[in-house]
Amino acid sequence: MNDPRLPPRHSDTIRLTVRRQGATADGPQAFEIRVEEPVTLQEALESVYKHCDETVAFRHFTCRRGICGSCMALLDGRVVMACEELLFPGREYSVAAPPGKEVIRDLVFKTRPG
Amino acid sequence: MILETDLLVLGGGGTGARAALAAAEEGLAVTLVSKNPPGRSGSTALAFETMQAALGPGDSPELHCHDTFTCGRSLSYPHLARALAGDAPGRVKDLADLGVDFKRDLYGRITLIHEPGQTVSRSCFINGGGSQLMKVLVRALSRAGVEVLPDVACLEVVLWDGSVAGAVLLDLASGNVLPVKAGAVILATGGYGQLWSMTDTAVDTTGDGVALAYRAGATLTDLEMVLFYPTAVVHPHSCKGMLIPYEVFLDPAGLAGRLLNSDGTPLDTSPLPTRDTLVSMMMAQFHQEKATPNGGLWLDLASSPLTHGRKQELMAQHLPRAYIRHLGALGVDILESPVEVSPMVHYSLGGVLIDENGLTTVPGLFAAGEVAGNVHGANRLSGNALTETQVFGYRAGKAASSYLKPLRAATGEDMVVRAARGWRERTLGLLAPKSGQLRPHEIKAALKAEAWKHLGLERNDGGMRAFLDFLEDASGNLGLMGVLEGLDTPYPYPLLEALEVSMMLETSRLVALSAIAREETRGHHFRSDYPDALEEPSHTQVSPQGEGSVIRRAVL
Repeated sequence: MNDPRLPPRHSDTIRLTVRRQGATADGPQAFEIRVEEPVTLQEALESVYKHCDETVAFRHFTCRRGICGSCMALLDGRVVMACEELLFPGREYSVAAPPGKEVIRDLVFKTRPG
Repeated sequence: MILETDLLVLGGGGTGARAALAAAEEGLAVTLVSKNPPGRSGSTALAFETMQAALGPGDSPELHCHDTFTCGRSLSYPHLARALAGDAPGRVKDLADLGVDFKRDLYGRITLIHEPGQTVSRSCFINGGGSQLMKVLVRALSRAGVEVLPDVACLEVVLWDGSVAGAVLLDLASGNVLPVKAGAVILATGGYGQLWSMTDTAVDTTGDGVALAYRAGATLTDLEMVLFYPTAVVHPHSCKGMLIPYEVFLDPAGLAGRLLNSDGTPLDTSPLPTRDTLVSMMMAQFHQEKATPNGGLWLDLASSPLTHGRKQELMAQHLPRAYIRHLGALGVDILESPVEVSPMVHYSLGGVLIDENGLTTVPGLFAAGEVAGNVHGANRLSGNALTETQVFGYRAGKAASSYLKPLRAATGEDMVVRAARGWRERTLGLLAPKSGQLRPHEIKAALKAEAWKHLGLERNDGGMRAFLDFLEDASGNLGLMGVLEGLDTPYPYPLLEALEVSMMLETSRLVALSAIAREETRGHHFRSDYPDALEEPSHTQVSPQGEGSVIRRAVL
């Protein structure tokens, strides 16, 4: 099981590729975060911000109930709410700002009031 | 460039929107700014459906005021509680006229439901809750011609000759500092729940308005009074702080669940207690070392007599989908196995001292809603928060209009421009590389953990003094705080966090000083070294003129 000659299984890692745009970086950038259990996309992004790169921009505010739309994102081609979408250890994901939105930076886009 | 407006409203929740509308009706040029998308962010958009107003048979504003004051454990400012109760019916009518969808009976009358602490049923039910309420208000703002600026934070309220002359803002979209000339400012920035690690409030509820007001010279009151919501989610981590409405989950007419201690013994929650009472019942279990592994109690729905289908229906209606999904992924069925819940900081009762029209002790500076204090006292009834947003938002908007009507000559532009330049220089300091550099979020996390430990559910003099020592060290280390990017880059969130952190440290100190000064247990302020309430209730007040020393004022 724990043969030291084998590469680690990384079953506690999520690989998240973020589409950067609008400021310091442009294009996809991959990050690895360590988790103990499934996490929401929002929490995975918080982890990237805290442990990998503070210049990755996304909205930290979210209603956490899938209502406000502040954390809307495109995850592997699907429009999701980051506060609701679960990511699982051992898997890879790719996230970008939702289509059709005016991007301020990275995943942050302009919202219409209300 | 300098912006110019008559009235600047800070905050895009229910209070800010109502204030802006009230002032726009009087013909003022009104600009409303919000740190996050207005209408979508702020606590109102997250609020549950109920709003109290004395509309039913046998009810009256006097009775509403009486219930508010009694359940506030006699610590409401009476003139504020009277204004709340007196104006509530009128503000409900305004909302109905604007198009808010209240639940109604067959005859079209607004349905009133009963919540804990009410002598008679008094809560109107807004279909779609706070988020629907905000949709209606934001549409009204646009009709009224209010200039709404999203993604804008406030760094300073600027005075000239002792009265408000404007403000310095941070526009997050561009990363620019924006000076604004304004004759009056209304703080509608919400509470300071984010000072604690255990909280169900949104991440932007950092109490900026309290620090902004204090720095501008305003007196603050009853800061030690924060309300703990009894039943928030502890685990899994992604869902920590999501709220489980005990008014539904423990109500025999609702989901009929139970709270169990670690032995599996249920608490007696009938009749449904007010929030402070339930929190103290839960604390009694913690004292007997009957807490669950993560320091809470079990919420058990398995024993509820409802059908599985009915339970699922109510659950879907009242729990965040993310929580249900997450439990599912972990193999937990909340209907079969109990989940952990704990009290968490939910609402700031204290805040900026106001008169019944929202005026602070600084001319031209108004405050309303959660940032202001103290309408409710040492505990707040469910349904009184939305009422507060509408009553005091409206009053502050009208009062600011009267204040501005004599058409004051626009003065103090130089002060505003100079203040903006000061902020440009200050933020540069954050960019210089430092050895042993601290990131804003690290300081924030340490502060929140310490605040919960020493200034959380249970407080004592020694613990709070240790917390003051921590704050002194942390404030001393602010020079080590650094960020990678400064102004003029879009969405500089670390920079915003850095500015928030310095305000949070300042506010925490004032909360701790006020809590030390309140040598009694009352409502949500639990002192292990002073377990009883004093006979005569009194308010705490703290002001920069008094250099942070806390004075006591009798409730009159």
